[in-house]
Amino acid sequence: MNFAVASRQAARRIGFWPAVCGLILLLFAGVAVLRFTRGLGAVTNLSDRFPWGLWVGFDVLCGVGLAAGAFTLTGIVHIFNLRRFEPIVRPTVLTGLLGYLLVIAGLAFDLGQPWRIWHALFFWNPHSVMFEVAWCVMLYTAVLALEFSPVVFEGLRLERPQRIMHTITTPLVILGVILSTLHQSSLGSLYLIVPAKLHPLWYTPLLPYLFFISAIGAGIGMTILESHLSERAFGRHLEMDLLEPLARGMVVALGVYGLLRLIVIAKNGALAALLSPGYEGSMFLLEFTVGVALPVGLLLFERVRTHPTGLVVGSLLAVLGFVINRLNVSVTGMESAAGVHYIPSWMEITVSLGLVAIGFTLFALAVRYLPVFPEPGRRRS
Amino acid sequence: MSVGLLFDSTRCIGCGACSAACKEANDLPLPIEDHTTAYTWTVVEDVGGAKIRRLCFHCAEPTCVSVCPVAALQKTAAGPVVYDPQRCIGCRYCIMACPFGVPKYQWDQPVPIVGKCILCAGRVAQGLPTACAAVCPTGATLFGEHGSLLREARKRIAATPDRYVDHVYGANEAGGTSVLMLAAVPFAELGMKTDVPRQPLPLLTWNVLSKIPSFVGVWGVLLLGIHWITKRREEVSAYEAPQREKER
Amino acid sequence: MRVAYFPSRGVCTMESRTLLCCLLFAFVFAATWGATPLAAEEGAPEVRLPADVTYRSAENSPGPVVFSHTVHVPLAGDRCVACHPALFPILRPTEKITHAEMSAGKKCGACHDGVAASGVEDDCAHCHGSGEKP
Repeated sequence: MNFAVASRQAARRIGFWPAVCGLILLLFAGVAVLRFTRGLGAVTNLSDRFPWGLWVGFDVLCGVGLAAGAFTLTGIVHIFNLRRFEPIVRPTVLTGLLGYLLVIAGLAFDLGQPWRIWHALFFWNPHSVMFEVAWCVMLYTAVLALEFSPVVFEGLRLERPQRIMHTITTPLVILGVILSTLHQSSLGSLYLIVPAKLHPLWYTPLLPYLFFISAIGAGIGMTILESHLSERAFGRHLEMDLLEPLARGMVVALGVYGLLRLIVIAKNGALAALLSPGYEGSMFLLEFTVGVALPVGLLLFERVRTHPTGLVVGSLLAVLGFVINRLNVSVTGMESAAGVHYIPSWMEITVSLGLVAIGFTLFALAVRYLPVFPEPGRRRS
Repeated sequence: MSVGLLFDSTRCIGCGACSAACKEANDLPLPIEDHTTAYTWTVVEDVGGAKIRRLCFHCAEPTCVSVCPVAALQKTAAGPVVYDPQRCIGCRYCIMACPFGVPKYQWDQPVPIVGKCILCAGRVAQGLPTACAAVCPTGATLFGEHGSLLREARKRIAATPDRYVDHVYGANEAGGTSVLMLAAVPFAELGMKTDVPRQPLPLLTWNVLSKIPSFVGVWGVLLLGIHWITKRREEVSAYEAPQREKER
Repeated sequence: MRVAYFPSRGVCTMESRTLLCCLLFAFVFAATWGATPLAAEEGAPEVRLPADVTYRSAENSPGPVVFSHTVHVPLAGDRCVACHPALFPILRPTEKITHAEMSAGKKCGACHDGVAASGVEDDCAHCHGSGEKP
């Protein structure tokens, strides 16, 4: 029996996506060994001229942003008291928690000495945006764990801890929203320090605001996508009556964001870069079209918004555009000044995909063993 | 008293004694590479006949110091910007942020650290000049008190204006640096960054970070207020519901 | 003292002879100075090479060895890095150099191997002599 036949048979038994996951994770493990025994240079295409690449641009910048649905949804339910959205809080918080855990796992690869990550707890530099990000991410991951703990307690049938968590929900959510606002915007603030290096299509003193608003839009987009994927994987149906108003929120966020971007670019005098677009101009047009123009244009129409496919396509575009934007800030926009054309190595891509695969796997496991989704027909008190 | 260096490109003969002395003083492995790396902290390059040194500028308000999350890079009162390899977590924000492109990384090491000129902080603390200044056979690299070096630089330009480009590199770049340079050709031609803002870069992020405490207060009160108002609406609505039922 | 630059009627005064000698000496001095290899053109940087290094003689040594930078630097292409710090420290003096080290290709032996330059066993006086330049 040759390898092709055997692998096809295995895939049929295991399932296509789990097989793909398994393959990625196998490569991921191999790359991990290389990275920790031979150093970053052996595994990445990073260099002194280009020290931050895919692992910062995607794993950290996108990972944190795409987990923003957690603070948005918990804020909507517990601060704005719109209780009808409660059924989607749990899976969104799970997505958020897994997202942040994977960001930390991504940092374990990218940091030169990740076993020293605890240093930020004891060696302080309040002037550093990264110090602030480190603290907020650490604290917020703890908040997310606490916000998700009722699911675990319920699964383990521990009544008392559940009740305790219930009483501290509101202050916990407020803390979570504050921490999220701080670090979502700070990811943008990281780039304030390089005015001469980041291309004017992306550099602006408003970077923190832009990162925060785009995180809200992307977070909602991820929530909708997660609902769609859960529907397909676990046989849940899409809660259109909840997701449609969320999509409207996403449209508003993207609209405000898009307008601000255009105003900033006009003020920067960088509009000319768009009229006869070179490399940077083309990448911006791609990001703006996919991430703002198309989703806003499509989802403005009620017919598209109220149709599951339209909703999902619009959300997918918003999320894709968000990813392209963050990669543009961290990679595209920095290349010209660095004099480097950075392309991630296949090993860097493997690690990023591997982390995503781990995320999907953990999500599926959590849904399987914990009451993440409300039982159909059971009203939650 | 804050010390610094004055590098006069017109007096440099490209002999490389500075690179050699730096390797020895800092116990760095050979060979001396042709550009700065984590293992070669200073080099002298020949750019069309003119000589230029590459090394850390030891800014008065260093960008690298402000961005390091664990304060592994610190500006000493004596002038040198020093690095503590024991604190460093390898985030490489310093490499990304430095407007002069100075810090370099040990990409080949499984336990990597950053490498950059530390202005021989140990020697300076003992009252010695930096290694590079100590061995320079032409005096192209001078060590001394920063103020007097700046005055000397300006004096040289004034005394022989045909010999120099009318610019002391480092006098104003990034808010002023401890290492100053003079040259006969425009610094851009020598591969030096000429787009460095005059304002110290750390201010750009401090503008944002300094507002955090008040922001947390305002945002927290606002969120609490929204929660309280909307909750009250819900409570009022729940209270009035039986009355509305009765009225029907 | 008024000096006659062109003594008239064959009178070669004491003063004019002294002056001529001074001028001759100045000219020779300037020519020698200008001929220093590392500063050939006008306005070129003034190079101060490190002073000669004297290695005191140990037992069994025929005499002290004086190393001259002035001689060796041009031979190394005016590049300090040809020897520093790979062969010799640059910040502190080398205390002792043994024949064993040199024969193994270290220190002076890196060049004085009998091929690139005279070998260390060839002629004792070459190094241990009076210190004159070869």
